[in-house]
Amino acid sequence: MKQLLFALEDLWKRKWLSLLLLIQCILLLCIANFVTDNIKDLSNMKQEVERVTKSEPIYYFHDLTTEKQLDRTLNQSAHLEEYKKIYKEIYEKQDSQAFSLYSTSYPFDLRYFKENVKDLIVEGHQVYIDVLTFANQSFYDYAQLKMAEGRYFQKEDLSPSKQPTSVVIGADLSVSLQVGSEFTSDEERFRVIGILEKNMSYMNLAASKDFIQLDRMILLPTPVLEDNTDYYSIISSSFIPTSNEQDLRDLMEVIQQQGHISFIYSDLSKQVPYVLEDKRKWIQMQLMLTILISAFTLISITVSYLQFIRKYMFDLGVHILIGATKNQVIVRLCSQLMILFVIANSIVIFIIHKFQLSFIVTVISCLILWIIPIIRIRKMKIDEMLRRKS
Amino acid sequence: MKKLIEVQHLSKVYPIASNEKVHALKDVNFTISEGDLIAIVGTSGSGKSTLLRILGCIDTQSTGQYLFKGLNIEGKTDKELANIRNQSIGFVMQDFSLIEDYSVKKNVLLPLTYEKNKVKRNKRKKNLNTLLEKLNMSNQENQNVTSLSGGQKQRVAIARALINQPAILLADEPTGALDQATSKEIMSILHSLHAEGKTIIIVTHDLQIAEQCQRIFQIEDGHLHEVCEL
Ligand SMILES: Nc1ncnc2c1ncn2[C@@H]1O[C@H](COP(=O)(O)OP(=O)(O)OP(=O)(O)O)[C@@H](O)[C@H]1O
Ligand SMILES: [Mg+2]
Repeated sequence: MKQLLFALEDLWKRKWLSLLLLIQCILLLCIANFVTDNIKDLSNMKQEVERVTKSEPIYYFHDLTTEKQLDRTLNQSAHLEEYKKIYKEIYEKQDSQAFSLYSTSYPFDLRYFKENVKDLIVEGHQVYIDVLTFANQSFYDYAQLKMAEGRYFQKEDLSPSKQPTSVVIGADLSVSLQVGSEFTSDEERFRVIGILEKNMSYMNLAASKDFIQLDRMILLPTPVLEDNTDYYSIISSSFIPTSNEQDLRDLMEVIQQQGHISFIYSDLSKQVPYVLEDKRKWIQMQLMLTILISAFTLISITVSYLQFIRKYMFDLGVHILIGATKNQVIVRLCSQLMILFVIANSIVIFIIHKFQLSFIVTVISCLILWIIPIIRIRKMKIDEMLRRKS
Repeated sequence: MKKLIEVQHLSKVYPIASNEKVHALKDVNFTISEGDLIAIVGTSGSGKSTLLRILGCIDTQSTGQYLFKGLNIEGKTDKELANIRNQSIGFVMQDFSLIEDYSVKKNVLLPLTYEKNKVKRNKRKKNLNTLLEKLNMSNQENQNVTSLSGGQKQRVAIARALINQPAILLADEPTGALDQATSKEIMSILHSLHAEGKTIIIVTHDLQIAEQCQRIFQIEDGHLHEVCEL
């Protein structure tokens, strides 16, 4: 206990050096968190590959519309009609399995989301929440969703005329809403039929290839179709699971007839391994870099820490001279580092809300950092310590 | 007089390289009784500090026997040795060995940190004022030791060495870093402590100082012999 007080005194005595050490510790913990995030992404990626290559073929579009074609379609309303036709061909055909990963921010009435407001964008009486439309069974399979409560959409929910509209909400939104709760956006009414498990996500393999978290999103079974609906975005992020290529050829014909836009389709399962390979290389490189940086940080902490200890060797020698044991002095040294890491952990938890990993990293780095000083003090003669007057 | 220290056939070997050794002390024999004032003289590197460190339980001999208050020091644990240093031995070093940014009071009371017995601790805390008065330092009690002169620092070091009322005071060149006038001052303090019955060993280069002592041990190349007995 006394040694702990001495350790605190030591840290205070050389505030700037302690601060430097503290910053390095925080850096180490943060970087270590990045490393595990990368590792997690990497393993997610593997699952993703397995999933898409196992299921029935999923087709998606490449947009090959040229500038020239666009010039000819400056007439907006004609444009819209064309899109509508294609849209109908994809989504309103019988037995259409298509889903779109198009998501948009949609204003809901604020009073239903009081408990979530600090995570969301608020404007007046409205709160903007990302909505993913077309969340049908195909999407459920594609994203491998799991329900925490309630149920996922069924056939009867898919009818556009059903009132109130059924929705499934992300886990974080369940602080404000429960299964059965209703909420509104202007005139429209929505009813929660299910809540997703925490950490559900999907990846848009045709676009950004980032994992998109569903925790704060709302899933709708059908799109909210208005005059200004962004048909183009919906179409270009469409995914069509089918084993019947004839359907697709029919679809392509319809698209070609329009003349002003060109899409081609390809099988996701054939593309995905290449696409993911790129992504994986990128993550691996990131992982290598972060591991390297953490190693460097650890080395630099070791150096600063040894320098820090050096300044106390004389004091420690004096303490041994007047009756301290070497073990007591070692406890003092170890406490210095522990205090720093306790502070660093509290700060890191405050920043990234994760504790477990920081704790493990702390234990490991303390063990590494303690080895050299403990061995040195064990071996060092007291007169040698007393000669280390700074 | 009761024997305080008995040293028999004591030697110390420092290994410096894989097959090189320094024989710092060779077959040293002597006894010291309570109340002795002893000077240890010798050329540089002859082994004076080595002997003092062994007597002070901060190092151990390679061979031979060292009895302190009749207790064999060999084989004692780190904890037991630390306790002996704390309770029975007071060190005074050439460079004072004070904690720089502590006050005089905090430095002097530092050995009490390692005293587990609370009653004893509080009793000894009360010695502080008499001790500082005796050493003429009562006015500087709360002053930082960095702001003190060399002589004052050495007096603080002596006060710290005495706070636990040790059986013996070990001084390694206590005047080595001081000018002549200040040296005299420190020596007169040590003399008055000796007059009160304290056992004191002083390592010194200064023959004038050695001559003021009751007994003089000379070390030559690790061999110790007593020069004269006054
Ligand atoms: N820790 C050590 N490791 C190796 N050799 C040592 C060590 N300490 C002392 N020595 C050697 O032991 C011998 C005696 O050293 P010691 O310090 O006892 O001499 P001294 O008489 O105190 O000298 P001085 O008057 O210069 O202080 C020297 O040759 C020294 O080099
Ligand atoms: Mg010496």
